[in-house]
Amino acid sequence: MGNFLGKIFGNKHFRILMLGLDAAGKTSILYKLRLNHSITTIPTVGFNVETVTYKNVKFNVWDVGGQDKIRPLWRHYYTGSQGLIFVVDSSDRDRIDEAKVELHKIISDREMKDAIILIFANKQDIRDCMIPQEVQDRLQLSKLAHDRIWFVQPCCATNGDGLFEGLTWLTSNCK
Amino acid sequence: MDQFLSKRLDCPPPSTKTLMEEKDSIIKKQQDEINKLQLQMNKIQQERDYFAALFNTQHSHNNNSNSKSKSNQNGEEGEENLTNGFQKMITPPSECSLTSSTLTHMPKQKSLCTDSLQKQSQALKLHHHHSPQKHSMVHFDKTALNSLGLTTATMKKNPISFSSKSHYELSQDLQDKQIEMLQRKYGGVLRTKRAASVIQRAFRQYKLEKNFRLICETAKANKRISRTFSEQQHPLCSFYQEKIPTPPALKPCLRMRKSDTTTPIHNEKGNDSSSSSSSNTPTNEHFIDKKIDLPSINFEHFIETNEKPQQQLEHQHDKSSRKPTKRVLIVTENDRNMLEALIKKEANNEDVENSVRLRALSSKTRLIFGKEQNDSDFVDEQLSSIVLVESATEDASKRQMPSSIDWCKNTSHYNFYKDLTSSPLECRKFSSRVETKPQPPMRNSTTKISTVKNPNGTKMTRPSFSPCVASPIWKRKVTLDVDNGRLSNLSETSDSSDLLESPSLSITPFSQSSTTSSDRDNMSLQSNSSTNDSYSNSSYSHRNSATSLESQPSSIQQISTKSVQMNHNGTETRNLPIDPVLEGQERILAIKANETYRRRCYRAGLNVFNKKPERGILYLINNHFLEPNPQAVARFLLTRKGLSRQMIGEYLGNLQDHFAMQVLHAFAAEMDFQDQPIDMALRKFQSSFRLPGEAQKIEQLMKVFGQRYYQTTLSNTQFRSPDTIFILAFAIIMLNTDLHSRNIKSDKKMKLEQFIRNLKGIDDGEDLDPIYLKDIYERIKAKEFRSDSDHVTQCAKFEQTLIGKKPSLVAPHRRLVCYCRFYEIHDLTKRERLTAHQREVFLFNDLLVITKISNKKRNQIQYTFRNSFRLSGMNLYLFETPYYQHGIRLVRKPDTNQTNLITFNARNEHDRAKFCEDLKEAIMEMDEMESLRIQSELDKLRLSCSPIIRGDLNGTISSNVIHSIVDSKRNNLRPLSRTLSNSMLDIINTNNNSTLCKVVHTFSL
Repeated sequence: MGNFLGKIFGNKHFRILMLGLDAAGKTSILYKLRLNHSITTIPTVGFNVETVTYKNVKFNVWDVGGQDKIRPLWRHYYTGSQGLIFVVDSSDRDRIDEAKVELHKIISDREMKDAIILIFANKQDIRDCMIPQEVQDRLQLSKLAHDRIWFVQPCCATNGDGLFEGLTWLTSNCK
Repeated sequence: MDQFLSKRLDCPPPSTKTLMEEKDSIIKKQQDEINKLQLQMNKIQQERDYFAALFNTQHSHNNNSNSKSKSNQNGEEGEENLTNGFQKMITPPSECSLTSSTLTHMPKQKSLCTDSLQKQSQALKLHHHHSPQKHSMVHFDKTALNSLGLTTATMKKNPISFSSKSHYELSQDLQDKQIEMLQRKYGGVLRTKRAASVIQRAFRQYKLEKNFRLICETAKANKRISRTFSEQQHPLCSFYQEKIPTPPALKPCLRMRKSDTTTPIHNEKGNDSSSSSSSNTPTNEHFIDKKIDLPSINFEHFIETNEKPQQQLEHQHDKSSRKPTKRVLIVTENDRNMLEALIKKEANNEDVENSVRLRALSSKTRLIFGKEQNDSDFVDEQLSSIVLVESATEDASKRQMPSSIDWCKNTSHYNFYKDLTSSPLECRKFSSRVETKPQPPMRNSTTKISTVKNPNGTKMTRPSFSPCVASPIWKRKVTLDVDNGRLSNLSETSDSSDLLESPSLSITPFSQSSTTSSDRDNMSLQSNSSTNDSYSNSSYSHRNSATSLESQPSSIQQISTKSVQMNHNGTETRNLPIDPVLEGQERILAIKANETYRRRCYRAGLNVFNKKPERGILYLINNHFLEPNPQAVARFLLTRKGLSRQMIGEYLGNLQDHFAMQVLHAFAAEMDFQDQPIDMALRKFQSSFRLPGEAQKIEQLMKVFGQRYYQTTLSNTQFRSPDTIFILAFAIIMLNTDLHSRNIKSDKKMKLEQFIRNLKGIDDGEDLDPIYLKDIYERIKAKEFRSDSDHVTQCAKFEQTLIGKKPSLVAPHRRLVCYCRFYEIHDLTKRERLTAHQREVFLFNDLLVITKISNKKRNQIQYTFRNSFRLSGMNLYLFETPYYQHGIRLVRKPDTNQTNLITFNARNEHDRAKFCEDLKEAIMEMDEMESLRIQSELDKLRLSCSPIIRGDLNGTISSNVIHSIVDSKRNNLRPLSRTLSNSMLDIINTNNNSTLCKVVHTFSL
């Protein structure tokens, strides 16, 4: 029945991978998005995987990441992924280059070539942080291939600003 | 605006400036003092070395003399041990000064000492059997040495070892000579005394200094410190005799009931000078000081003056007997003294039977020693256990016990006094209330102290002993206090409240004959003024006087008895002559209070950990519950109950914290994965904490796990490198998530082939054995990873049985303390069926949940949620009306007007007492938490304000920066000042010169 209704009303499922350096705010974003859902059961041991329903779209968000050695393991999940959320700590200028390298490594993967990229410029509430334009420049997004779809969304995970705008962008751009 | 700001910073408020100056000068002074102390410590160390050398020579000398005569083999051994033990014991003062981890040294030494003591006692017993004629010698030896007056812990040990050594070898003449020699070596009686006092003083000063540093660190708010020292009143002891609005049916009446508190744990009552060294361990000192910061809680006990006086005599369960396992056993020299005294007693009395009993006793004490060692591990029995209200039978049996081992007790009390006398330097106070005066209307036994005072300590007291068993209302009590120059009598008055109040009512500060006034001030902060205060309001008269006891052990016959009125179910009054009160009872209470407080602090630390793990670890380390090394912390995380597994995981996964990473490595090093397949090893690894969900954290944890697994399985490893294990472990976690997360659709779950394919080439380019991987896959699929249960899972379980509109009960810091069944009272004046309004009350460490049992489902217990109350700021009253005998009233205490929360009637006295104790403890724990929170808020505020103040002073900060700081401060301060609880504002207000106050006002303009 749910499936049927879903077909009528265009319920969509997206598998989204969420990446970023540690302490960028991935977990905070994930659980901010999940806030309206009460967590009653003890969560599964392992990675943060949450399903966020927003505007009839179910996002299955995986909090993935890690260094080169374990990147091959994620390939299994890359395949079915429509989108990638890359979280950047916009107050951390020291590690933005590290983040850039990380991002380019991931999106250059063969399995990810069709994925759309949403960049959350997180921690916008911190004084003197990088503005979205600066983040965009520092991540060298303009150097990406022209058919790549990407978007930098400023946000703040602590108060939730900008998060759902990002999801809106995802829904409107996911095929 | 900028101009305005810079102007303001150039001319800071004068008060702030003066404050800063004041602070600086204080700090300077303190530093000077510390330097002085260090110098002194060095001196003392030298002196100590000198003594040690002396001792060694003496020891060898003795050995020589021993070898001349035939000696008992066993005795020899015992002495050897003993002397070894003492040699090690000599070191404490200096060692403490040198090492920061005093705590770790002390217990070891203690146990060493006790070990050797036991051996000594056994050995001596043997001797006594063989050569009874030598007893007098022992005795003489002891007294003679006592007259030497070697007070310090260091010095004390020497004579004792001598005495034990020589008592069967040397003739009296030789002994005399030896003593003379000793005196000469130490440079005469006066000099020895002086040296002893110097050592003692220095040690105390060292501790004082350390204590001070601790306070400085923990309570950075200088106001708090001044408060600490200015307030003499111990919060636990403060009984505000405030008028509390009571229903007309109730007449407030402080009832004097003290059921006997003696349980036969003899070790506790060492009340002599040396015992202070036990209580004077830095931790305890620290606690003593910290106690003062606690907001006071008043528990009042209202008992209706009943028409039937007899009913009031209903027995109240003794606290100590109720929680026998929680007894504090501080084993130190006093135990040594006790044993020694026991032996002497035996010497006086050639009874074979006695000696047999004595042996039994000593074995018993050994048992207790063992217990103490466990205790010192801060095992908290309360943690994460549902303490269902126990049956009273245990108590009853406990109560019977004393009489059965009457003799043993007598001996130990008796000897206890002897030990008191061992140090003439000290002016000991001995107070006994032997005369009881019945006060019929209130049935209080008023006590009077008959004492003999002799300044030179040459007279001995023989407190008269008059058994007043016949009178059901008479009670007697002998109080003993070692506190120098102070007398604290636990008056009977306080007992009524004591039933509710913690046993700490009369905290006897364990100040050994303090040689410096500062010491005394420090040690006995919460001194008797508080207890006296509480008495002053009461209508009981008691006279105290002090007595010095002299050292004629054999002649002191101190027996005290206490008649206890027991009335079971309020129908029958019986008088049970219960054997002698432990003379050191106040001491026990005090130690217990200390222990209770320590436990509370420990629990508060756990709570902090369960909220903010890093801060919790810091707190536990600062309070000496934990050694500041990764191994200790790792072991703590692995073994201690009461830590939320989620928070352990969070702590171990904290990549930013360098120390936490060290702990993680130590944590993994504690595990052994030999002969386990990787997934089983991983299962074991993750069972003790909840794996955090972030990929980076998992990565770090798996890396450490991989290294450890590689190490332990090095001999038969099938992997080429630790990296392989790391990747495989990561993949296993991934698989576990994939297979068991509800957020992944079943059709998208990973298949075995996918799992194997995903792991292609991870073993240095090679593939792993597919069968091995298949096994892993099957095992993971069959059973998902789970961390072991903790108090949170218990809460979760409880929450599942709870129906109705309930608040979320599951929180990492919440812990179920106890459960009890009560009957709610709606109207005190109306009589109702006693079983009406049955409520199941669940006490959490920060919450009280009132539920009603619902029987809708047959096979499953379900509770309907009724109400819940936060514990902080709660007050608790007991009452008794004709209709409701075991009433409890809970009241919210918002400073002035108290709002009634709920009124209960318990099923019986035991339930009530037990529940009240737990509730009271939980409330105090919450208050402790609250004070910690305020403390951290203050620190935060202080920290955030300091740059401004600094800018004030030198005016070099650019106005732009200041602008931003001030702006942010404004934003922060406003809500903060609003959130500050009244108690905090109180703190600020009490200190008029508070910087904080000023700053707050300045920036909230």
